[in-house]
Amino acid sequence: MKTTLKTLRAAKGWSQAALGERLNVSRQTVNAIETGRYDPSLPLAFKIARLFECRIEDVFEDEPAG
Amino acid sequence: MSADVKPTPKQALRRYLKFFIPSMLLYVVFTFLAASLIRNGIVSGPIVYFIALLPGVAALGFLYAYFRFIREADEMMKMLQVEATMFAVAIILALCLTWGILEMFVETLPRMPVFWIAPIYFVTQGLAGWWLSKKYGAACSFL
Repeated sequence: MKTTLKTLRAAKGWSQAALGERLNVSRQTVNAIETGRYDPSLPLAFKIARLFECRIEDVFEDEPAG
Repeated sequence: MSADVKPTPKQALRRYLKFFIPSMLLYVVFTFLAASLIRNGIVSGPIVYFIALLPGVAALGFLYAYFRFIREADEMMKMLQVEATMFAVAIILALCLTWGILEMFVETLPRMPVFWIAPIYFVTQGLAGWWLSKKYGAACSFL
């Protein structure tokens, strides 16, 4: 899944650890989401979208398989 | 801490280590103590059973700490730990279902003491955790 999380976070001037604290997840989890190695659960995706005051589709973009 | 308030990842790790380290140390002490007392014949009779059970009681402590950590960890860490656990369980079951069956039918085969299942499990889980940490880009699976 593609994500704009890194850009959104940078715009706020937050570190991965700072974003992790706001989402109550570890810095490693933020890093894994940003690098596309881990797809967050729906509740976490909603939490991220709410934090950045946007829609989930503005943060995550599905990459069709194949 | 009340059950409805989810601790932060750092708090969860701190709670885990606070319980895990003392119980693991106790396990090591009890194991050496039991081996020394029983093997050297310092204790005998029914008390041998009690002393031999002590390491198991301490092990319940660190197993509980790990169980609680998995419940309190964030979703990716939880997934990582569960995947590592499942991998270790698969290896242990494969070992039991191959070596165990061979032991039943081949009398000359050396018997594997049941004690070794736990160390094999923990080493396998640790290696799986390390590999999964690299896969997900988490430098350390616990931090």
